[in-house]
Formats: sequence, structure tokens, C-alpha cells
Amino acid sequence: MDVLVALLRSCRLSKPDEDLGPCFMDTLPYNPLLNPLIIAKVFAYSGQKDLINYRLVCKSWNGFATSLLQSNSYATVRQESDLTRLLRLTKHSSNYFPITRFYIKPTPKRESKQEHSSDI
Amino acid sequence: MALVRVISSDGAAFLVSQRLAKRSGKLKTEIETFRKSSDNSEAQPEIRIVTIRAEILRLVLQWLQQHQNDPVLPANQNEQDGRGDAEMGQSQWDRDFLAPMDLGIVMELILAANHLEVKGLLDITCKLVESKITGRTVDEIRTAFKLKSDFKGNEEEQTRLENRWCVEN
Repeated sequence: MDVLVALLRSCRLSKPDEDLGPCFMDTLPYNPLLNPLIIAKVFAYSGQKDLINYRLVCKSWNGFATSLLQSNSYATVRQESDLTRLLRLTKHSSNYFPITRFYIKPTPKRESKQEHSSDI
Repeated sequence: MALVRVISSDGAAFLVSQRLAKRSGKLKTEIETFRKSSDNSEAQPEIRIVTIRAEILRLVLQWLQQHQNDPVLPANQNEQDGRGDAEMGQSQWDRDFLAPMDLGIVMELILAANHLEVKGLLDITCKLVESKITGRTVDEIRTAFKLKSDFKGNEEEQTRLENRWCVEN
């Protein structure tokens, strides 16, 4: 169990190399990270994994991260066996993340097959 | 060269050229307002910025000076994702400029850049803050940035459940 916890901790996206000071926010007239324009600018550089995480911080972060995720997220179904996953996704589709688009892509061909088809 | 006196919240006066000052949207508006209300066209405008202290104002002016010859980008450029120009335009000078600052100074600089409407500076400081919060846990972010969880009832739990299937695995 302890090993598992340790593993989970080490699996963070990146290791913070320093401690964020505890009280540097106290002197500010208001919290910049609650200003919509500033949140939008900061989140614009965030990856999907971080945005998913930011949804849990507070309501206003949730709102911004959710709308960014909604505009960028998609799931790809590549094989017939993936249909079960598609079913699972649609089952979990919620008001926040409704399934709105499907992309149908062909299964990528293997190298040898491509050579074969080019011979013909 | 037309000059303008910009005064910080703690009373320090900075004498800068109007050309430089006008690269801040806020100062540009203030200078134009002063021109309209003043009879003497030679009079030197004086602008008091009550929310920004000298140390921070000096940094903003220093950044403006370094970037005074950059092309003025339309405010809405690449604005669809809010990402601005920090990605492509961040120079070695900017990195050296930001490097010695602690996060408290960076946060003050963000507020100042926002207030004075200095888009380029806002972009690079916001990007820096993102690099400080990426990969952190929710609790770490809440503690460091004084953000309180304001979820009610099972809202947080519901979000957690949604997040479980958000990640494609």
C-alpha cells in the first residue's frame, strides 16, 4: 500500500523544484488568479491533464477549465474493438461534457500492406 | 521629446517619454485625457498610479523600454485561445528579466500589466505562473494561491467522477 502511494506521488506530471512561498499572496490588493482575463491567459498555456486537475480547485477555475476542455477534447475510436470504449464514453456523457462530435478515421495500415498496395 | 511624469502609489516619480508611455493602453488614455483638458499643449502630463508601487512600476517601465521598438500587435491577435504572443516572442532578455523574481513580485507584475494594459508583459508573466502550477496537486494550488474550495454538497465529488473518464487511457 505504501509503495502504491509513493508511486502515485512520483507520477505527478512534473516534480515541483521549489516550494511556493506560503504568504506571497497576502500583500496583493486582490487575487489575480480570480480575475477572468488573467485566468484565461494562464490556462491558455495549460495542457489537458492540468486543466482536468484545475477543475477541482474552485468553482471559477472549474468554469474556465471546463469550457477550455469542451472546446479541445475529443476521443478517437480506431478499431471495432474500441466500440466498447465508445459505448462507455457515451454512457458517461454528462451535461458538462456532452459527446458532440464523432470523427471516423480508417485503421492505419501496416508498412508491408502499404508496399503491397503500391505494387498493384 | 515630450515627457510624462508617472507617479507610483508610494510617491516615486518616473520621467519617461510619452512615446514609451503610450505603449501602455492605460497611460495612453491618461495622456490623451490630459491633452484634451489642458489649455497649454506644452504642459507636462502627470499621471498617478495609485495601485502600483515604485518597485513594480519600475519593472513595467523597464520592460516597456526594452520592447519599445516591437511592432504593436493588434489586441485581438491570436486571442481566440487567449494565448497571446509569449510562445513565439519570448526573448532571452525576457527570460533574464523574469528569472530573479519571486512569485510574489510576478503576481504584482501581473496585476500591474493588467491595470496598465501592457499585453506582452501580461502574456509572459501569465505563462510563468502556468509553469509554476503545472503538475501541482489541487491542495498545493489552493494553499499557495489562497484559493478556497467553494463547491457545495457533492459538486466536488461529481467533478472528480467526471474527471475519471475525461482522461483517455
